[in-house]
Amino acid sequence: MKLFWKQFITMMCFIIISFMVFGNIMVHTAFKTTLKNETGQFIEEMKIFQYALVASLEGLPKEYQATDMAVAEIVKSIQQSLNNTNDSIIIYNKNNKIIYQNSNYQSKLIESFKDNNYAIWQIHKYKEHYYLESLCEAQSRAGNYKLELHHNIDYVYQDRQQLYNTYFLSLIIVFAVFSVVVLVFSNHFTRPIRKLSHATRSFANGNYKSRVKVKGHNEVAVLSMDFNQMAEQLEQNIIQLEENARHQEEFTAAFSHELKTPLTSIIGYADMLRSMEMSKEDTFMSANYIFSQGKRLERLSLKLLELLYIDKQEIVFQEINTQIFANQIKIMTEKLLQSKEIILLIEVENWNFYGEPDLLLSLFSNLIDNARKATDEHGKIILEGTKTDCGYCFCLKDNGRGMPQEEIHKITEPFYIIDKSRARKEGGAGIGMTLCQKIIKLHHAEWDIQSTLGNGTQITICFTNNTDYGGVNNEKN
Amino acid sequence: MNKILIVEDEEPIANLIKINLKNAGYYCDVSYNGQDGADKMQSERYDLCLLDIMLPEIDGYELLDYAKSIELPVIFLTAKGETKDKVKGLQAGADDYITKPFEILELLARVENILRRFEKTSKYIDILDLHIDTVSRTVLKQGVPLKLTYKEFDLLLLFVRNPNVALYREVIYEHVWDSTYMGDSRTVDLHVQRLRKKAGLERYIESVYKVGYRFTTS
Repeated sequence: MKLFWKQFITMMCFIIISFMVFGNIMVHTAFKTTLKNETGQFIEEMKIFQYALVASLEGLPKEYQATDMAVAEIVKSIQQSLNNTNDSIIIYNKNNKIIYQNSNYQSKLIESFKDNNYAIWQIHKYKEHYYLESLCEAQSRAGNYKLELHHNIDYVYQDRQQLYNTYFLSLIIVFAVFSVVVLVFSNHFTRPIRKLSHATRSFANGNYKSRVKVKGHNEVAVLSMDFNQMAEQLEQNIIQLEENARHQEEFTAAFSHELKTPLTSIIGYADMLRSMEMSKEDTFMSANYIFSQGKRLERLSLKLLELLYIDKQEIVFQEINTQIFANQIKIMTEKLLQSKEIILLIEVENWNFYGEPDLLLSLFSNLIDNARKATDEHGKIILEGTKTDCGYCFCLKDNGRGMPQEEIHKITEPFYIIDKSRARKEGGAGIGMTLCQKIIKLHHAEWDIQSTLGNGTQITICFTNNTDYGGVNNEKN
Repeated sequence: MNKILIVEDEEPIANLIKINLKNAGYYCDVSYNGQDGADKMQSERYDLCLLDIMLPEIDGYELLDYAKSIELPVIFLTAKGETKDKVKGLQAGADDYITKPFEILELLARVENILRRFEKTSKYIDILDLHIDTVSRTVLKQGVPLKLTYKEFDLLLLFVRNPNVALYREVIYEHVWDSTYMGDSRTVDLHVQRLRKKAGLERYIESVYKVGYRFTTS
């Protein structure tokens, strides 16, 4: 059942039951009071009657035994003198025989009268009317008689019925009014919940922008705020996941392209070699293509392995001396640079920092290799290392051909190559910079690439002071 | 002679296509980037364009629009092999779509197919003393009709369209029978022998030791 209806029904039940109980008590109390007053008055009347009767009987001459007829006459006169004409009267003699009756009212009260009783009374329903009946003894020298009075009290019951009717009518009015009020209130209180539920459903259906308007500070408002916070977080996560998936997809697409291109050449030229008679030059050219494209595949797979290795490897940071490190870089890249007679100048301040030596060597050899590819013969590459306030910075400059400003942010995308035809000849796989970025991220370092077309490129890599992730330890120096 | 434009930024692949198309009797021009491709389309009249999608400067889709505007049939040639890429390419108006890596024979067959569809090539092939009608699938030898079965006709077409190329049994099987070669060479051998006899090509369809057959015109 909906909360709205639960609230509505509960409130209505409570209101109706309380009104019913309260009303009943009121009516009943009013009735009891009236009845009690009426009874008191009636008994007083009866006492007066009894007293008058006894006095009359005592007033008779001594030794005079009154006859039933005479008693009846006495009673009649008393009744007239008391002006009590509404009540019916029955007089019994000592043998409980009726000697006087002024109406045809039939009473059985005499049957429950015991000898030692002085007086009894009861409420009796006779012929759809309510009567107060009372019976008492009137003892005198003239004889013992019993006096019974009946008083119609219908009006007490009628009053009660009328009260009930009035009360019932007001109950219906109250019910109607409260229904409307409770309906409006329930609706008002459950509206934020319905709105929240609507927003949740919308969110579940993929509308991650769905939010709730928060009003006030009640529990529902707090819940709405929590929902909004959760939705915000989830939306962020989903965007992140989608981004990751998109990157993954792009990587896969680019990778499959990079894989299929050399494969096409290899398969095609091999097929030509095996099925056609070709000239010596063509045969040589085909074989050369197969070889170079095979090499390209090899480079691709090696770089890819390196990339995977970084992801899987558990990295242990070690203290590295900058000058020893620079020397290692020089040794590693010497052969490569010699082929183009490029000079590598190293000016590194002596310092110690933390890092993963193999990965960092890979990073620098990749960057220097890129510099080499961009530089003409007899070019110059400079590696500078300086201690700064916030850590240690390496700066790699070359006087190569640089790259266009708008291409710089794209170079870390996997398989992105600015000048394809050149890069192929120089043997680029297109994931070197992706690799570099990963290594830098692992070291929580920052890098900045400045380049102008025709003037060379400058890459600055700064390691922070945080030794937890590779970087500089100030105290040790 | 049909003129074909190859727009492909990978030099080895462009070269590969060029050599094979030349061998099959087409005239070829090569562009290594989109800009040059557009220029060539503008200055020369081609019968067909083989177009790579990922190109420097102007990409394949843009170039396709241009080619469509000058009613140049286009076959996309790309490493993007996913169905959605194919659908995208074909919806953009490409006439065919070949994914890398491709086989030369397949490329030639598709080229032939598109040229025929656009009626850029004659439906008749005259070779040696044979007159082949590729549409009604009939062959006349010195004016006398030959009774060739369906497969024998396909086999003959494959040979005459790939002169001087050693056709491996598996390649023949895969192209004529259109299913994967399971190592049973007898079907191919039987059909080749019957074709040789029926068309009198004993001298021109040579057996290549351990490989298959080669059709020579000399």
